[in-house]
Amino acid sequence: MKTPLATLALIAMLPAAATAAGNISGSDKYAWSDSSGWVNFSPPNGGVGVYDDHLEGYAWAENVGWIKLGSHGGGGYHAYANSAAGDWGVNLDGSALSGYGWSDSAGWIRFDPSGGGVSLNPLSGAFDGWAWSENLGWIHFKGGTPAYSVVFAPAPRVAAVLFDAADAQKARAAVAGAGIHLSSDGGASWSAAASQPGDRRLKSLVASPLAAATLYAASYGSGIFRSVDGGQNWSACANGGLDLRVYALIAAGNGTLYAATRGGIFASADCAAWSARSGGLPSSGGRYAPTVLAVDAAQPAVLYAGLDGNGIYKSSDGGTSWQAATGQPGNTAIRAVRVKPGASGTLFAASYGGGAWKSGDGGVTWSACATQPANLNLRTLAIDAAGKLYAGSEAGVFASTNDCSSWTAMNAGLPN
Amino acid sequence: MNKSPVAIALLLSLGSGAHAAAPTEQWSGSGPFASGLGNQAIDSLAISADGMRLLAGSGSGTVFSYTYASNAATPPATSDSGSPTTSPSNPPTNVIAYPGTTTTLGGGTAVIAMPGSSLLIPAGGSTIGTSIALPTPTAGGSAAAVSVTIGGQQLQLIPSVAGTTLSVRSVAVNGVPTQVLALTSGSFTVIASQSGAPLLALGSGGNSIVLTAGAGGASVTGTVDSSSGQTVLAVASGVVTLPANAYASAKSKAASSTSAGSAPPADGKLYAGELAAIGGDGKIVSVRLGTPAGSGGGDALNLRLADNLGFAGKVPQLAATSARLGQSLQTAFAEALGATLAGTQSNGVLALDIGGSRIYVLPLGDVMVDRTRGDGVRLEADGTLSVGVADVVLRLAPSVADPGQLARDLAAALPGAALQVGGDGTLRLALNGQYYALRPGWLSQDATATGFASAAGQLTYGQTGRNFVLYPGVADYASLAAVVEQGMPGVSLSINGDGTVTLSGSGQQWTLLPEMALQSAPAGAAAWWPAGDGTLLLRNADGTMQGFSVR
Repeated sequence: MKTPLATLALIAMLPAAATAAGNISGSDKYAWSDSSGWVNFSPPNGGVGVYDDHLEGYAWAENVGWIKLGSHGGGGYHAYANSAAGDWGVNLDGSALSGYGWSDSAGWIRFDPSGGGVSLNPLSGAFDGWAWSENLGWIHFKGGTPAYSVVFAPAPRVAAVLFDAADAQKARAAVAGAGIHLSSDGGASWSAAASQPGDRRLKSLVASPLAAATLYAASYGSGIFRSVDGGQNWSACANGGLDLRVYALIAAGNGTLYAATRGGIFASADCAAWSARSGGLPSSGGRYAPTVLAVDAAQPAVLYAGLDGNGIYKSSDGGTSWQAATGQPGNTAIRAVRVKPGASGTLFAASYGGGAWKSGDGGVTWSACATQPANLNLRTLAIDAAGKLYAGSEAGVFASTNDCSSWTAMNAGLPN
Repeated sequence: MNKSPVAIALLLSLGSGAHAAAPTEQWSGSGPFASGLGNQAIDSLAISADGMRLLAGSGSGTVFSYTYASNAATPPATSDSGSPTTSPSNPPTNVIAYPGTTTTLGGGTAVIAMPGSSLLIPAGGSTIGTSIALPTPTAGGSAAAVSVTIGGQQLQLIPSVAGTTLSVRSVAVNGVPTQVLALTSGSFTVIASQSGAPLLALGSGGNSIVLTAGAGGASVTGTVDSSSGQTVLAVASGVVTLPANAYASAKSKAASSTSAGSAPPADGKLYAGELAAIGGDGKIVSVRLGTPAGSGGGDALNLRLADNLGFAGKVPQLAATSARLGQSLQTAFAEALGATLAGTQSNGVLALDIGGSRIYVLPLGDVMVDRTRGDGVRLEADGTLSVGVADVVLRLAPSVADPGQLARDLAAALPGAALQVGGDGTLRLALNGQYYALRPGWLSQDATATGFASAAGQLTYGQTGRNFVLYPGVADYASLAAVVEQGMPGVSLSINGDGTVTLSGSGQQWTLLPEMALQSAPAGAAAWWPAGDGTLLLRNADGTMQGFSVR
């Protein structure tokens, strides 16, 4: 075995039975190996999950057994280091796959071998190309006779929702995998935008504070799109200087746009030209990239960034320089940060697995909320003008009217 | 699998027909995208502006909506509580103009222009009043130009500061309603390449004026002075034509004013290197030479000639060529005095040769454009000379050849001495808490001696081969003039070349001889009072007093 990760083989042990559910199509799920036959990426009791920057979960080959696509689980963001015993797997960068899967019986499977390589079409979701295993040889992801393929088919995820500032009957939703949708009846019904952003991997949807009809949508892979008619029609911004792999987009009160990307944080006045604003942020080749952004409505130059796995950073100069919180949340899988309106020193953060966190000193130190929502897998936060805090979790919505001292579940009407 | 966005859209739009009223205080959604994937995993939340509605986007593609029940009581049928004092602010209804496409103004919708954007202001009244916010200049100071087509003319707009806004107005030009831009706040440069292009509207209502570009176009920077309500125009290049109604009907300021005001130029034009202040009534307040950067002709020289020397007023730079005069300011003024230049203005002072004599003069204050001044030389009441050339007016005070050397020589002779040149050229010497007022004579003599000497009751000073008389000077001309004006109606005042003061009136004439040394005025002192020895004491604005003997 020539792989530099050979020494990690003993550590990458598979469980006796894989149970993760993936997001590969139930019909287009097979790759082919001449030596070992079909490899099923959506098998019973297993399945491969495709996320913005990585793959995880399990594929199954009758003659090989389980093939694990990465050491990470739980989705979210995770760029595998592939240089550490506990951090290996298949990375996704735009449309290119790289890194390693592991089979107990066949060893490492490389997704970016010389002479081959595997790609993923970001719009169609189709895999293509060849992976390589020392013991299995080439694994082909798309063939014609018989026709087979592996297709990423995620459930559409509502990445962002937005009310019109003046008319609560008007709402917009950015649905990852399905584009922008509009409602004119407060969310009772929705229709697709007349022309969509050219990339459906949508992450954020924000309204310009300067012009109510101007909206910006962020995608992971194609940067920022803009609509000047309230969301009906979209066109790509020039995106000059921007890393197009955008995780989050916000608009400060002065109109400045800030984008959190795999390549750091960028700022722009017009979404045409962007300048890097990552001074002081850790640079780890995509690991610990900023995936969450927040701005203090009262202070447009005061920003907060959540770095998945690395905690919360603050900038007081519009992103020119960043400082890590000296007392980080105990769980750094940060999913959202919000500043309490009218109280710039009070902030809340949502973490996946660690619940809600609060800072009373402007983001310098964080501590767990006195009580937590019943589900600690938080995905998002929102806070209204009166300071009422809402947390979106894997088990519905929770609300707090006392700065997260207590929470009330408000799940009536949600599916069980 | 579900690969079709269309199919997803169809699912999203399910139930898009008539809907019953949504129940309150519970979530309702139109159903998940994909059968069997409905769940409670909430990935996104939104709150309406009033906090009464929520949206929750799920990981299964459904947007759930939630409406709080209203607790508001029904208002009484009649109420005498009056109108609310505040109302919710309206959301912005702006249009953002981006580069790469032309944004057409219309409907009065405010426009926020991004750098490099192009705006088209179509003819017609629908654009009148439309606000245009220019982009913020970048930190590096690079231009953020916006192109505007208005009235068939193309203009380039370059903001100078953040927060610069314009508006579209209709102003009659030669009786024809014309669309033109007006500066609302901030500062920007407008560039027109076509002759006659309307550049900027100023004033309001019937007092509005429109500045137009002269032959070959013009580049003008306009800046709103929020404290005075005036707009300051700086012509960077070309010629700007002033309309006839920019001129006040009667000039209220004295022609001798140094900087506060001036009558507009006679030819109705502003040239490159000139700054005009326009009042809120659309009338020209003053025109002077200078630039926004402060580095052109008429702008203040940065004089640091000696550590113990300061200038209370502005010493203008005269080496630059005036577009109005077609020659350098110093040459033009020297010729007006019948003199030739005898050196450069390196230390602020002009050396002039007149009729075989050399005099040294210090330019003071703004170089004004004042059509009422007239050409020629005039001795002003404060003892300075004013010189007018083609409406361009300069004031000069007598000086030693090198004020810096004078200050250094004073420090050498009198350790701790500090010298300040006043706004009228009077020298104010500070030494150990005492103050002295001196005034160089207009003329100097050839001499080889240097330093200070006293002969026949006069203090003399030699430097650079010249010998100067340093007369006692009037320390505070403004206070003296105020006393004369208020206490001696009909009496005129003038300061002579030797520092003495002549008062004339009612067929009589008095001469006042100022004392060189100043004293501290007693608390509560009157503006002036007679001393026991027959001198008059004048209280200065700075708390000192100066004695004048009368003869």
